[in-house]
Amino acid sequence: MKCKFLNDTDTEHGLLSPNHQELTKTRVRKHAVTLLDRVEHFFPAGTILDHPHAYKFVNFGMATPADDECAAACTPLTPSQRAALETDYRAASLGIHDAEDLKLFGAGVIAGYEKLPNGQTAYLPGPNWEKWNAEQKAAKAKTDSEL
Amino acid sequence: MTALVKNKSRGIVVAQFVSAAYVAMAGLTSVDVSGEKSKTAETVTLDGPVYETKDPTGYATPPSLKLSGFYDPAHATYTNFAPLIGAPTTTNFKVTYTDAAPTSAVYSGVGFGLGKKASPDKMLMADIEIEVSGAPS
Repeated sequence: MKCKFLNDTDTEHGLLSPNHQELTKTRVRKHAVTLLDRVEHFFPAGTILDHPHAYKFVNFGMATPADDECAAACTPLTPSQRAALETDYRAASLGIHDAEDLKLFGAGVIAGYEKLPNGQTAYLPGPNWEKWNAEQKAAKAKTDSEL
Repeated sequence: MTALVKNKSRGIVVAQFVSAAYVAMAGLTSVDVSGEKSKTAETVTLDGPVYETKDPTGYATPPSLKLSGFYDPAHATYTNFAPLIGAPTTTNFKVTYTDAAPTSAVYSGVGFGLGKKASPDKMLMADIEIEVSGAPS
C-alpha cells in the first residue's frame, strides 16, 4: 500500500530496503557529540512510499493515502479531524510543544521557530502573521487609549 | 573557539524510528540525555600515594534518554513506544537540538520504560526512559 508524505520526513538510510533508499535525499547536520558533519537522509515532501505499514504514517498525520488499499486501512476521520491531526504532527516535528505556540501554529500565525546564531529562537511567520500582528497592535492601542 | 551561546530548549525534537521513517514525539515537557560517561578502573597499589589513583579503561557508558510529556494513550507517541516494553526490539531515537547548526544524534534504544503520573494539580503525565546501547551515531 502507498502513502504520500506531507512534509520532509527524516529516515535512516541503513534501515531501508534498496528501493526505499532510492527515494531519499540528503542534508548535512552536525553530530551532537563529535560535532563532525553527518549526512542525514529524508523523504522529501510529496514522496510516495510503498510500504506494508504506509497506513501508520497516515494515522500519525504525516502522510495522506496514495492508493485505495492504504485509504481502506487507515482510521476513518472527518476532514476537520484529519486537518487537526496533520497540524498536530507538523507541530511536533518542528519541536512546538508549548501550549501558546501550538495555538499560534494552529491558527497559522507562526510556521515554526527560526534558530538564530545567538542561541535565541524567533517565530517563523505563518500565513496569518501580519493579520495577527495588526490585531495585537490594535488591541494594545485600544487598551492604551482607555488608560 | 567561539563565544558560548546560550541555546533555548524550545524547538528540540525527539523522534522514534517506526517502520521506515522517524516519527516526532509530541507533547514533551522535558528531554534529558544523561549518564554518558567514560569508565575508569582503580589503580591503587599498596605502595602508592595517599590519594587513590584511577586510569581510563577505554570504555564508556552510553547515555539514557529520559523524556516527560503529556500522556495520551491513544496518541502515536505512546502507541509507537508502549509495545517496545513487552516486545523490546532495538529502535533508533533521534534527538535534534536547537542550536543554529543544528546538531543531532541518533541513539540505539534497547531497553524501554514508561511510567504514568496522575495528581490533582497536574495533567496526566508520562515518563519515558530509553536505555541506549553503543555510541550515538
